[in-house]
Amino acid sequence: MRSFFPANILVIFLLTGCATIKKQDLVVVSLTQFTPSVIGSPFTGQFEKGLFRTSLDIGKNHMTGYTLIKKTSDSSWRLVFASEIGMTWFDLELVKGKLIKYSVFGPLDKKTLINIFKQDFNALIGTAEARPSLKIFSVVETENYAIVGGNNPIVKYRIDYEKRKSGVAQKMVIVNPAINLRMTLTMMGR
Amino acid sequence: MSEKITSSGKFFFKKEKMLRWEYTAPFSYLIIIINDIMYVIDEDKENKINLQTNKLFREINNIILGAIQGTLLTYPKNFKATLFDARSLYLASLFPQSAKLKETISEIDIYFNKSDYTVDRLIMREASGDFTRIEFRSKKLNQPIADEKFFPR
Repeated sequence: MRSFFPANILVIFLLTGCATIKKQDLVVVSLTQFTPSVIGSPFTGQFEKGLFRTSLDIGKNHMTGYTLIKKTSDSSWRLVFASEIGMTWFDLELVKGKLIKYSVFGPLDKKTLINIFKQDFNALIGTAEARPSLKIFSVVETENYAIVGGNNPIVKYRIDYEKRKSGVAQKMVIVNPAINLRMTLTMMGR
Repeated sequence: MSEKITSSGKFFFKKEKMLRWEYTAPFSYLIIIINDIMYVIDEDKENKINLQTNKLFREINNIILGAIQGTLLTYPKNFKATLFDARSLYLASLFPQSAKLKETISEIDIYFNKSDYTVDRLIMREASGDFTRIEFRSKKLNQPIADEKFFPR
């Protein structure tokens, strides 16, 4: 498999001018305090663990499988993404916002990408560490919410919480335009 | 992690290099290998992979087909094999030799049925300690399978 991140990645980013988040379909929501339940995040309240059908596209590379997300303590979350044939793409744990790497499939094991995962998964779950840096939007013409964050164009992200059922999103879509990353998590059970 | 995820489906193999690995539960997912082309088809995307040029998937293909055909046992460059003889089965434990493969897989255990020498079970152990167990049940041998079964879509 090709390496996802060539050594001259920064040069490529500069030459392409850094794709950014498009916000035409978003309306900012004024909230004094971020709470995951407002946006329909499933990772709140009584959530202990959930299984998600997952696809991850990075550039031209397409990976699919299951992601198990499990709350391992009040301040830690384990995320394991494995292919349908059982091979682990990544096995990570967020502990107080920091990322522990248990196993990462070779071509994905790049510092830049791991840092992006750390940021995206903190935001997806809505950990205390992610909350100050994200903004909440409502999506025009739907009842969905999206969050946008990232402190520079390379790590800028947007996460959409879609297909709400009883107020809980059944599908989450993470997009990092600068590296052409799109990850879709569809809830199978929790 | 101690969590277990179970999926099921159908597996077709036709000599020499035609394979259809079809998951039906908990969702549909299809892998087809026909000669040196691998198709991976999930609900919204079809990926065509040339195994001649893609080293990683060539290795995966070698493992899948090699386990079924028994050729993994004669693949000393990539795997060192230890054989065990039990009452109703033979066990072949394969240990990867290349550093690249060792990063992902620590051991592959293949259980052969003594009555017909087909594979009953395959356990792929990862370096991280996770493992995948594949059970082959309700086997039908030497039944006709149309070539179309190995065409994507």
